[in-house]
Amino acid sequence: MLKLFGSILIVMATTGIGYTTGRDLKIRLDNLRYIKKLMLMLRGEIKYLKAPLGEAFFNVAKRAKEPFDLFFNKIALEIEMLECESFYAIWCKHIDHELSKVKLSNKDCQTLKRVGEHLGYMDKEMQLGMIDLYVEQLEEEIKLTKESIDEKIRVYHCLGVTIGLFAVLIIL
Amino acid sequence: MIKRDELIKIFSSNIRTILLQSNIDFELLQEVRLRVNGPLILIYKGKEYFLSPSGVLSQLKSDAYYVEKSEIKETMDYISSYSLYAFEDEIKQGFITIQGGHRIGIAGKTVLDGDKITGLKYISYINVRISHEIKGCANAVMPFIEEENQVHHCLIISPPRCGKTTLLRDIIRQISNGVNGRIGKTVGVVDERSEIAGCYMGVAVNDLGIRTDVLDCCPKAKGMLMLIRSMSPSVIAIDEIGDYDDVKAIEAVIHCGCKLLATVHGSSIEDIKTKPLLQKMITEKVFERYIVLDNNKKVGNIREIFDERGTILYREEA
Repeated sequence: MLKLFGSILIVMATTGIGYTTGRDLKIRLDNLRYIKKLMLMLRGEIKYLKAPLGEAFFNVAKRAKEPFDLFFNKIALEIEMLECESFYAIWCKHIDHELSKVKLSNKDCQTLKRVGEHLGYMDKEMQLGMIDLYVEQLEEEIKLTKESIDEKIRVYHCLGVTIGLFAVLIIL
Repeated sequence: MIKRDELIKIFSSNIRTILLQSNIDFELLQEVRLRVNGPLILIYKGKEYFLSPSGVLSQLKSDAYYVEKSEIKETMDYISSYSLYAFEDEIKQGFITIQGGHRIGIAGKTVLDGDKITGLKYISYINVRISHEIKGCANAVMPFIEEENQVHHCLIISPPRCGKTTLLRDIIRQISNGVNGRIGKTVGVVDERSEIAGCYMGVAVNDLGIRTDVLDCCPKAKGMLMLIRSMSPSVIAIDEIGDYDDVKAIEAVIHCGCKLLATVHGSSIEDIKTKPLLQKMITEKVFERYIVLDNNKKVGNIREIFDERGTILYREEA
């Protein structure tokens, strides 16, 4: 009886892990879409209002959901404070702090960090060009992720159940 | 203290440290000049000083702290809040106005497209001109500007760094609030360079009175006409009449029944009479009061006040 109960628990746990991993893929995809939306908002702030980065980030933060609102808000506050740090350092610091719990891959974070290298530098066209380039990269990533996501989710689900059953067989 | 903190944070970390070590009264500081590989220079209490690495004011060049190229770049990052692109138009004109109305003059190599200036690169010279709000500095001129609750068209004539914007700001505040038994009037300010009101995100940082509307960063000529149509001001104020478009707009203002307060660079009434731009307005007696400033005794010293016929209403005692 105890063995049966233990086996059920093992299978349930591995299946759960499989489902969670599959769900994380979906959340990551949603996050990438949301970041794209925020970048388009930022683009609008720069293109139409010619807002400085601090003001643009404040305005985006007002319309963003958690934790992205915090991310933009904290950067805006730090820009206003001018604490002897480069913009790139501020940008990277808050990606590491505020977006650490957001489901994004390491590669996603690195690409987002690269946007900060050139933000604020040169003219308006340069800013818009940088954001456009990032949005294009995001679209490409979203497209690739979308194409393979269903298959990957199925694989994670099956793997979860199979690994559980396999573990039970070995233990028994 | 607020002014000190507000100003210090626009400088690179090294210059910040030096300024923090110094015991300068920022209320008396007029300019800070930074030049690549040049000494850090302050205009303080009307005199030029070099600032040493330990923050001591000195008149010896050998004591001065020398500014490096990287410090100018860092300072530009802070001045523009990491957003130089947002100041493209201002940079083309050679200055940026920051929160508080402080004007940052910049120079370097101009980028040209034909004969049009499209930008500035290799920014190597920065001049921080500190804006001062001195409430009450217009007390002496108010009886000449406003008589029997009627404001006169007024032109303030002054060389640079003699306090014409500071005086204009206080005149606006007093007309708007209606001090000393005078009735307050609606004042429209066209603040092309954000120096009068020192607007930050559209809100005036300097006190311009309770009945003042500010059109920030708007060309003077267009702004004056916009204000007449939209805000029905009794008085319109502008800083530094610059070109014929401004003059045409002034004529429109005057014919609309609004009173005008303006400033212009010059050293005397004779000096501005020689300027083709203003000749016609002086001959036609458009302005009813001319206030001439200098900095002989102190910044903002009122030297003379004339009426439209050239009669001296006030002259400083020798």
